[in-house]
Amino acid sequence: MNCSKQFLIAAVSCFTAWAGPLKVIATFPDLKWAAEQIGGAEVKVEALGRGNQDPHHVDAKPSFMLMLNKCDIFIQNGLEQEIGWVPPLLEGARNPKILKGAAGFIDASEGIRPKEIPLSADRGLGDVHPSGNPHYLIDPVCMLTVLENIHEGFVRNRPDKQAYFDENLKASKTDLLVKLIGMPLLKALGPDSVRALLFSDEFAAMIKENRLPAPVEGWIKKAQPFNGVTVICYHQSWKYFTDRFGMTIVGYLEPKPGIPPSPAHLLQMKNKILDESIPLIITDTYHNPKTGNKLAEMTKVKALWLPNLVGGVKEVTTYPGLFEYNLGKILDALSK
Amino acid sequence: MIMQYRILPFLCFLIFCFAISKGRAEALSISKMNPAIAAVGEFGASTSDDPALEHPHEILFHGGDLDLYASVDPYFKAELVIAFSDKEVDFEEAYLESMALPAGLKVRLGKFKTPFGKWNTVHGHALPVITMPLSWERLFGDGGLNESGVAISELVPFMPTYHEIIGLVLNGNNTTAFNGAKTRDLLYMGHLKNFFELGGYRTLEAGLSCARGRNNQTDDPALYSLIAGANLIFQWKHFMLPMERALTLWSEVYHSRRETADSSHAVTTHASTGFFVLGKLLFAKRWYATCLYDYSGDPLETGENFNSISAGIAFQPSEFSEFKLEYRRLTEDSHGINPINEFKAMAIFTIGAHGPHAF
Repeated sequence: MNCSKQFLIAAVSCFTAWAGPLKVIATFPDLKWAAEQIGGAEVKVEALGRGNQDPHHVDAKPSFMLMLNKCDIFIQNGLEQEIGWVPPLLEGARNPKILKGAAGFIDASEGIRPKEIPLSADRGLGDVHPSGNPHYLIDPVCMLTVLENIHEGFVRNRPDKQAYFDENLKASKTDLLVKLIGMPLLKALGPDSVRALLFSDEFAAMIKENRLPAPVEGWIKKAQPFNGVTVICYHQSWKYFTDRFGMTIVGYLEPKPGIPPSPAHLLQMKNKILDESIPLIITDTYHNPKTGNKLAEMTKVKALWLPNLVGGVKEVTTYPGLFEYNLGKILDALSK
Repeated sequence: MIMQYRILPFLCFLIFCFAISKGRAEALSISKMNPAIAAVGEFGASTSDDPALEHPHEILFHGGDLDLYASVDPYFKAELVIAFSDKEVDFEEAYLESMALPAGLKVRLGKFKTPFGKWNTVHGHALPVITMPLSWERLFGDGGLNESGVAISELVPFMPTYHEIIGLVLNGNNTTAFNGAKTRDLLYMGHLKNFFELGGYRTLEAGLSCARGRNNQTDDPALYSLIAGANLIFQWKHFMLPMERALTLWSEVYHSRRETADSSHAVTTHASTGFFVLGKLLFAKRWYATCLYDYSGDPLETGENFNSISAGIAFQPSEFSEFKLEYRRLTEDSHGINPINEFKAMAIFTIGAHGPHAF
């Protein structure tokens, strides 16, 4: 009995080794980065959308169906971000392994607390997402949840590699937290307490009142000079970022989500910038910077064209690089 | 073919079910089980100098579609598209499609737009022009080759690029090309779809189609039509602003060989060819322009060949509404009739949870 059990384990191990790395397809480069952190050498990951593409409007090309047909795991952002293009891809892929509910389907948004959930799903309000704002990948704290979801999905598909995935999850979460808040605070509080604190609304107040047991470093410290700064954004894609780094969005160039700005609305925004001395306009790199630049020229404020996803500009090739780049650009703009 | 108001009881039942589910305390959980429901409406106006028209200037509501879509179970999805016009109600599509067959097989059963080329598969409201190409319309009739039957498709294995092969067995109840629904014969069709990434947001789709079926209702003699077609679609999008700068070039060619019989039952074959070339240019966010050249041979042996050229412009305030304006000049080759000039305008709106269209 014992011998046959050992044989079975050996056979499964041989088969897994023979099967090679898991073929993973993610919808966006940020999810690709996360999958590579967890999967390491055990996965081969590709992303469908590019970082400079509007994540709501990626083409559902047959070539993507072919990629999905051959993959073991599919990772999506969720919260209806990809509602306009992922369903036809999954249907056309003819791969039952990655259909919703199957072992190979990972919704990275599981457990994310969405912001801006609309009171009603009415198209009169623009391109609203009934489940809430889906642009959560721009918050590194949400990325911790994404890493856990991907870890769970990989373990489900390769239980024999659980120890390896566990180790990678721990290392990648620690690495991200160090970059976000610095090692001293992480060591003083421990990863679980830090995470709970970051998810609470108390963290900003604790920094302000100097109530933390160790000094804060990392991106949070880097962002402190623009704590409380008001901004105008093109689309509702920066809410998680501005909340995390202490900025406040006071208006959008789009009058309603997904609806391009009208001259009357731009005039309203111009007056708002001048009246309220708003120093910054942010447009994501998948929207035309023309409108933001024109408004900045009229009001003499700074307009930034920033990547909302990895690969949004060619300099940003990793997830930590996205924050280094964006925080650096904002600091530069506000210091001039 | 048209089931005038026959499906109205079904619709009433549907509305009744939804009304009940909405009215209950547990409405939320029940409504989550409802299919995605969308409605499309089309309103148009046209003016023409065609002396044969009774009403050369028209403003009318063309009708619309009611789309219902849901997974049936983990193995199948189903879609119903009910088309309403001012006089008729009919199932434009009603089919069941497999989701989890082994070896990448996919089966579709029911009534659906058959993949003879690409144009034939797209719903009218999703096409970039108001007036359909005559090369397609004269061959397959108003609604195109929209048939009841079975389609089995498979991706060609071991290929680095996308190649899909589809085989269909259909009832053959088309208004023009195939009209053998009351005979012992069925309509057989095949389509090969090929898709290539050319790099830098450029793609090419090339397809080949072939269909053979009866074109008459009597067996003395049994007459057949054989139609072959090819389609080519090139798309380019701007690397940084794909929603503002894009170009589509779309062409389809149809060659028809239709058997006919004279009074002595001698069978002859009548051959004809038609094609169209469409250009669509997205030149600003929400705005695109179209230009269509269309040549229709003589698929039904009426002795008429048509040439037409049209140009249009469209504005899309959002994904769910669209306004189109189009001019068309139509020339009939063989009888030297004066060219016909037409202006058309159309407003299209969508409400509800309309699923995305295929690429």
